[in-house]
Amino acid sequence: MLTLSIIVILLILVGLRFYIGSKYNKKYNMLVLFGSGGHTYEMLMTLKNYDFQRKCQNLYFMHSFADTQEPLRVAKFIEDNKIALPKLEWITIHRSRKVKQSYLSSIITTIKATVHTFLILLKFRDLDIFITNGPGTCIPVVIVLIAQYLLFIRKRCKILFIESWCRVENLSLSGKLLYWVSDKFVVNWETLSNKYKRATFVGNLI
Amino acid sequence: MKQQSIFVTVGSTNFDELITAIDNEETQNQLKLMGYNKVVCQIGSGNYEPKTEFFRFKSSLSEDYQKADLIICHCGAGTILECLKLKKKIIVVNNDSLMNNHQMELFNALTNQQLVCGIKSTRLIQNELINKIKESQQLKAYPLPEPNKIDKIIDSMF
Repeated sequence: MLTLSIIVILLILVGLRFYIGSKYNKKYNMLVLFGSGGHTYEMLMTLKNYDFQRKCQNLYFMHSFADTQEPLRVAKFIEDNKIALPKLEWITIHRSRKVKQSYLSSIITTIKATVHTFLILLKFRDLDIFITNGPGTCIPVVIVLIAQYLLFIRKRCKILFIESWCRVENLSLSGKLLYWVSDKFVVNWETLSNKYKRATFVGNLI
Repeated sequence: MKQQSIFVTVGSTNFDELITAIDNEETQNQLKLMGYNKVVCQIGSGNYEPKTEFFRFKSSLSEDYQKADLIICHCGAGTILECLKLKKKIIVVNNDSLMNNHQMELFNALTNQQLVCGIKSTRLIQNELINKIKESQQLKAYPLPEPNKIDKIIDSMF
C-alpha cells in the first residue's frame, strides 16, 4: 500500500513537471516585423523588457527594403539588450505600398510583394509566432503565413497584433484588416477595447 | 528662482504660428518672470526665424528633449510619446492645417488624462500659451508599463 502511494505521488510529480515544463519553458520561434519610423520605435519599446534569451529558440527580424534606418536602430537594441541567440536572422521583403502611391498601382505592388514574401518565407517554416504592430507590410506577411498553413507547407503560426499607441478610438487600416484574423489583438487604450470586443487591453504596453 | 529651459519643436514640416507666438516679446518677458530663461526652437522648414536660439532639423532630438524642462510641440505621436516617457512637462499645440482625425483622438485622450496640456487650435496659441505653461506644473506623470506584460500576452497564446 505504501509503495503504491509512493509510486502514485511520484507519477503525479513527474506529470506536473512535464505540464509546468511545457507551459513555462517552451521556447518560441519568433518573427517580428519592423515597419517604418514610429512603428519600429513602438515595437522596440514594447519588446524592451522581453526575455528573448529565455523565451526564444530562433528569432527572426523582418523589415522592408525601403526602410534603411530601422535595421540600425534594431541592431542597437539587440546590442543594448545583450540578445545573443544561436540563431538571429534578418529577413528583408518588398514594401507593399509607398506613401502617396495610387490605389490601383498599390494593388499590383501588393500582389508582387505577396508573391515575393511567399517565396522568402518558404525558408522559414518553423515559425510559432508572428508579432506586428501594423505597418502596411504586415498584410502580405499574414496572407502568406495563412496560405502556407492551408497548403500544408508550414505548421500553424500564431499572429499577435499590437495596435499602435496613437490609435485611441478607431483602429488603423491594418488593424481593421487583421481584427478577425489575428490570434490575439492587443490595444494600448481602454476606449478601443470597449468598442472592439476581441481586443485585449492590459494597460499601456509602451 | 530655478533656471529652466523650454524646447519648442514643430517636427518634419513647419509651424510658423507657433514659433512666432513663442518669439513674441511679451511672451518672452512672461517666460522670464516664470523662470524660463532659455528657449530653443526646432523650426523645420518654417519661414520665420526667431530671435531665440534655433535650428531646422537634426537626426535625433532626444538630447534636446532631455535637456529641456518644458516641451512645446505639434501633435506628433512620436514626439509626444518620447517626451512622456522622459517624464517631461508637455504642451501640445494642434496645427489646424495638418489635422487628421486620429491625431485629434490622441490629443483628446492625453489632455483628458492630464498627461499633456493642449491648445486646440492655432488661433488660440497667443491667448492660451502662458496659461498653459502655468497649468503644466500640475500635469500627471505618464505611467510606465510593468515590465512583464508582453511576456504574459505571448505566453497566453500557447
